[in-house]
Amino acid sequence: MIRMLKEIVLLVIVGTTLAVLANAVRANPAIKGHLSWGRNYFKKITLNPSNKNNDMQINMQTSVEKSLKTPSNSLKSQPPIQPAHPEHGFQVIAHKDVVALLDDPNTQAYLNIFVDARNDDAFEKGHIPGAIQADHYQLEMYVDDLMQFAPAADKIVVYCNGGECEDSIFMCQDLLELGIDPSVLFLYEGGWKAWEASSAPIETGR
Amino acid sequence: MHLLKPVVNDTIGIDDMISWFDQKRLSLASVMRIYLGGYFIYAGINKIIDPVGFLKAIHLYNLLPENPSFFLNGTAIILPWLEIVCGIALLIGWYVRGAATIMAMMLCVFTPAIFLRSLAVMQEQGINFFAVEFDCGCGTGAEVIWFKLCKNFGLFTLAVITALSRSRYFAIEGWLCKRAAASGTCSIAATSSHKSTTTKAAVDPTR
Repeated sequence: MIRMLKEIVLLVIVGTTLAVLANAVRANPAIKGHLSWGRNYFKKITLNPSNKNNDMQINMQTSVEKSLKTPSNSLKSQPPIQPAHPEHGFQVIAHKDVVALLDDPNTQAYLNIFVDARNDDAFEKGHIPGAIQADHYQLEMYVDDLMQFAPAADKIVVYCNGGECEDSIFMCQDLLELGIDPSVLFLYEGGWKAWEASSAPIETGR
Repeated sequence: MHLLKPVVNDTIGIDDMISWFDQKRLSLASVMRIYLGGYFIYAGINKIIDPVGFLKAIHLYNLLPENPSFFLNGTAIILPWLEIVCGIALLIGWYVRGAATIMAMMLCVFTPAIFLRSLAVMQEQGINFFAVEFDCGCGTGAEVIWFKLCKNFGLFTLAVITALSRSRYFAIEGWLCKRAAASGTCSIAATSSHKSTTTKAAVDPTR
């Protein structure tokens, strides 16, 4: 019995040591798969939808005014102001509105951006054309790309797999923490499943 | 004069049969040990390849608190490596009892958790228990859960048999035991030879 306990302790020590070392090595951006010991990946910020709606409407007006000043003046593609989602408090955007955004000239100018919150494999297999990948769990690797366009964007559509996937909500929270205005954040709840099921265009690779 | 040669009884005696069955039983236990080791190495590697997927899966079980996140993240970081270390230990036959016990304990924790999660999924989706399918984070992708539970029960049985077995065929412990036999400190079966050279020396009091 004592010998067995010794064996268990030794195996746990060896396993833990290897795990700690491997995780430290994976912190190198070239080797992905690092997990932080202390970061709460599942933290949920509850925005107050009632208060937020007011702010959001004001902000949306500002956003509309801003788009009027842009050369495209593409008001017709402005997604309708959506009520904040009762659970997470972010605005949701319907599939048809996301499709309409693709043809918006602002999208070509990176004023409307799509943020794909899925992992590398899923992104490479297919994504919304022009989408920027930003995996919530490896955010430090994508934050530079994201922050190149996100602060100036009028609309940021965030999506993940759809269905039970919560990564897009976490990504919206990350964007909030990075200082992005909540009024420009739109959650595409249908996500990749809905996009793939429709006849909308798909881009593959990076 | 050759008729006077003594008659040799070449029929198989009961002792030979017991020895043969004993040998087979011990060999089977070693096969189980090697299978179990290989399975856990495979599952561990798959979890290491996708640590985020594993983290999400164990988060869904609600076994560990989100805050402080050290426990949840630490489990996702350490468990796959522990599986691999235990898998290698079983495969090479080194610290077999400890490794098999760790695996049995892991299965004891995760199998009921998978069952409870499957009940929740069943309720959420309004489907039959036998139709419930999800990625349990076991390193084997999305699976039909009733089958996964049966498989886990089988693995648990294998782990218990391995932990209790004296068999050390094709094992470092067996090889060391053969060397230690002379000093009389080994009580485990330590040979792969069909002819019984099984070492059953004095019982080691620590075992």
